[in-house]
Amino acid sequence: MSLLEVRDLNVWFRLPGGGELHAVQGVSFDLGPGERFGLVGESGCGKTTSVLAMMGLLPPNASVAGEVRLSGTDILAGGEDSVRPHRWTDLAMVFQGAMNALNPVRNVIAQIAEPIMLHGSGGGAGGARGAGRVSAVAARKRAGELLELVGIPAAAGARYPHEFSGGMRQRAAIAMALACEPKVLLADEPTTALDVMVQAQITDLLVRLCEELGLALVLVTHDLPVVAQVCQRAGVMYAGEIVETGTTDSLFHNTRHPYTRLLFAATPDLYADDDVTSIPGAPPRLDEPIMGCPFLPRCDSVVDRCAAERPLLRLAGAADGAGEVRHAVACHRDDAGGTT
Amino acid sequence: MSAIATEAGLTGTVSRARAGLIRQAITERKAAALGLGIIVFFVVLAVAAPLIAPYSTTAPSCAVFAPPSASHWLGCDDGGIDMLSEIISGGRISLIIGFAATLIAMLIGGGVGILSGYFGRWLDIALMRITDYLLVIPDLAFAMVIADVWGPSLSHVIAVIAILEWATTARIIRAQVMSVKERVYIKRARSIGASHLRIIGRHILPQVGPLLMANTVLTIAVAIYLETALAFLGLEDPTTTTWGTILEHAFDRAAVSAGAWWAIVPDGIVITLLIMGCFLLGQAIEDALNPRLKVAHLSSRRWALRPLAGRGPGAI
Amino acid sequence: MRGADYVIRRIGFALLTIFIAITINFFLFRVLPGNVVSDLARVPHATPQLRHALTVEFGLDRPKWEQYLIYLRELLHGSMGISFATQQPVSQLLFNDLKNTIPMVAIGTLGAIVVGIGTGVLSAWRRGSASDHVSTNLAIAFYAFPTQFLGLMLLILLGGLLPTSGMENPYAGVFGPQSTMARFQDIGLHLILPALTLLLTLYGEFTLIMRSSMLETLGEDYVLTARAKGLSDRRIIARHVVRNALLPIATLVALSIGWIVGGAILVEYIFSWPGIGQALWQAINQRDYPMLQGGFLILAVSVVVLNLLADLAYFKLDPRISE
Repeated sequence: MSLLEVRDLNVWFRLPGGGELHAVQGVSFDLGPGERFGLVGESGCGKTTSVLAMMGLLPPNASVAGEVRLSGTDILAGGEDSVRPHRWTDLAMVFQGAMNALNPVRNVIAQIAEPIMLHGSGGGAGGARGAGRVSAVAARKRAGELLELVGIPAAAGARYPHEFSGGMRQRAAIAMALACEPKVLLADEPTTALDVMVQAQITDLLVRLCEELGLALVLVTHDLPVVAQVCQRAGVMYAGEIVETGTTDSLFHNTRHPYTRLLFAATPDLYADDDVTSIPGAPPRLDEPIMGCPFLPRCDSVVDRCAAERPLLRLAGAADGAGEVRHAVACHRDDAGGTT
Repeated sequence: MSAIATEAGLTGTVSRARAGLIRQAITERKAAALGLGIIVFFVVLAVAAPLIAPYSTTAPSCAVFAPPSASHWLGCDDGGIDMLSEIISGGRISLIIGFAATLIAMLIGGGVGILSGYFGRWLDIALMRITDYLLVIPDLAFAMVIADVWGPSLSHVIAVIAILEWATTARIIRAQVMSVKERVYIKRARSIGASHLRIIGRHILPQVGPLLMANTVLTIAVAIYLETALAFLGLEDPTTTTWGTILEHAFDRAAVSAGAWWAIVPDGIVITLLIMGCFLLGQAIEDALNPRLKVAHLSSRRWALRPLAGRGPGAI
Repeated sequence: MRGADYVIRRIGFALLTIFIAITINFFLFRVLPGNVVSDLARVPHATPQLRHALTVEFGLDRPKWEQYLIYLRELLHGSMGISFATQQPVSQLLFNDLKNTIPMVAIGTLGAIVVGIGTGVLSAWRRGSASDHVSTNLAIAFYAFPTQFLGLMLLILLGGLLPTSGMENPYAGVFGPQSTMARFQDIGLHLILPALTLLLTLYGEFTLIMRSSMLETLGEDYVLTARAKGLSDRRIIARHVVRNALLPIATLVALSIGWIVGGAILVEYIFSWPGIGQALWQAINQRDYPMLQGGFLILAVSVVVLNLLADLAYFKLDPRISE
């Protein structure tokens, strides 16, 4: 039993004109303590919605199916009320481009101290709830320590978010996410809105924190080099589902899925002379049921089966090298033993 | 009342501005169609007033404060004049005042706003100081003073309302022009030597048009409101019949103690309907210009759970 | 103190506006056609002594610019002339009227703000529901009702139950002195209808703006963050949403002050409330130009001052404004 098990997560959004958008179509993965997992894909592939669904942070027009098991217990089972006690104490999140992720009219340290005061600073839901609430003074002190941990002087916490630079804001958001000592950190495109130098600092910070605190991480991004730097394992998402997953190493060097292959090809390599290719076409509409493989219109290695049957995510090939490598692909070609 | 128009204009930035936008807003939104319908209804009523009004508005045709009956659907007022005819004819004058005052206010306000926003610098500062003052003085008090000093004729009322209302529009249009002015295609046009007139006419006006339209409609509501207020206080020509003077007569001649609700309620209702119509239409156009794209992250309703559907053996 | 120069600049601007108001006031009444104050022929009951006193006081035999300076000097001494109608100092009369107006308007306006904000928050929270539609449409309706119509309706509906005219029962003290408590009660009862009319006419605007502001705020990223932090809905609304959604209300109140004054004038007229609005109207009717001039000036200055206060309040509430 892993720390976090996501099983067949599905999310639908009811559309204003009637009809439904099937944004997440059966996402499953495991996460152990201290593991860093990347969720990669283009915009609109459902990766952000997946992590939001994991914390139950969906709007009223959403429906969810599937399980999110934390140490064996499905926290989604009772809807919003069953997932709320686990927020921040077990699962915490850092949002995309923290421009407005922090309340602009309250100072930074108060916002970090807030969950500490309410939930206590020990991890685990129900543990610090009610009993053992932390005083305001103690919470502020702890918030200051957290800021120092991410490299911001505690005194700066008295300022307002708009007085921070983008990188500092993101760090503050990370500090805030750590406030109740969660077991899992979900980071949704934490570096996207930042410039390259700052991106590197943030990714280094994340790795360091995970190692020091034994924190598990799910990093959502469209940026492949970031995944390579930060994550040990990753899943590639397309049209709402994971089409390939494995260790970063095997994903990069033993790519199986045509989409993953094309995704790598689309990322410019500083040292190579190749032209940058892009993937022609666009992702499929998610408000209509998909027949066959969702990647079919853009795939360069189609077989007959692709149009008829939707491929399931299956373990691919044998372990290569020492140790068990769980590399799974959703592709008919791979089943048929085709080469990549 | 003008505060809503000001607030919406000042806090929003116009993201799409095409002429078809207004048409689109009207066809898509119920509120807009309803508002437009109400306005059109009253305009038609006003135009056809002499043909429709059953009785004269100057000669009495029934008893003082006669209650509604088959021959006089809305009863009669303190002078024995048919209420229904009064309302129909009164609407005509009220609408004329409202539309005329608004037209003048829009021309001045739009002009000042465009000039101020486009040319900037000292012209902008000077014009904005003037609007600052006008926006700060209390509307009705100022209108009372002017109406009294100049005399209570209809044209004076129109002029007073126009003087009060142009400043709000000027502010909103100016803000819009200033943001449009910074757009790249304007700078390009300037660099190839297009004249100011051409830029204003071809590039700025279309962008500013729908906002001006929304503001015009909302200002009509304000103008009608001001007219009724001035009339009520006795600052309008008492020999004319407008919706405002009807209420004034009702109050002055003690309709309340006479229990003659028909001298008060129908008139109040038509004024309210027209103002509501203008408000609905104007708001709908402004909403169309400023689509709210954000989804609420918090709501009284919750997301739903669905039963798990399996994916088949061998799936991970 | 943050933004000390912002505060100073706003105060300076307010003072300048007051000065312009004073100047324009002078022009309106003395220089423009109509020339009402200087035209002594217009003064009712103009005895030769009164004419002489007026000429001296206003310097009517001096050139205009001198009159202007005299006017300024008088103002600095707190004098706004003598009322034509009552021969009393204008400033004293107006101060008394202002004392009567303020409680009624304050209660009506604060009531409107509270009701408006409350209904706006509830409407936004239950967006799309039946109660939202009802509440919003009611707000639009009351916003559209002309103030005098609301007043007349209240007269019809509640005229039998509540006092409809004046501020106090004029016969109250006849049978012996009235206790302060009884007097307050009396004034309070008289205050209900005018304040209620003002409340009903003003609240709709606040509802609509608050609702719209709430919906805007509910879509902000930090609300999602607050939800992610495991805060209860109630806490999120109270601590994060309402506080932020209130900011445009401060601006709205500032913009509405002119309309609050207008509403107050109408309400005082309908219910014969002896306040400054009533004084203004009576001054017009009696051609009492010093009262009119003084009353208008007081109203204009009040609006400037209230605008300044709203401005500073907004500045204090929103730390993003740095300049």
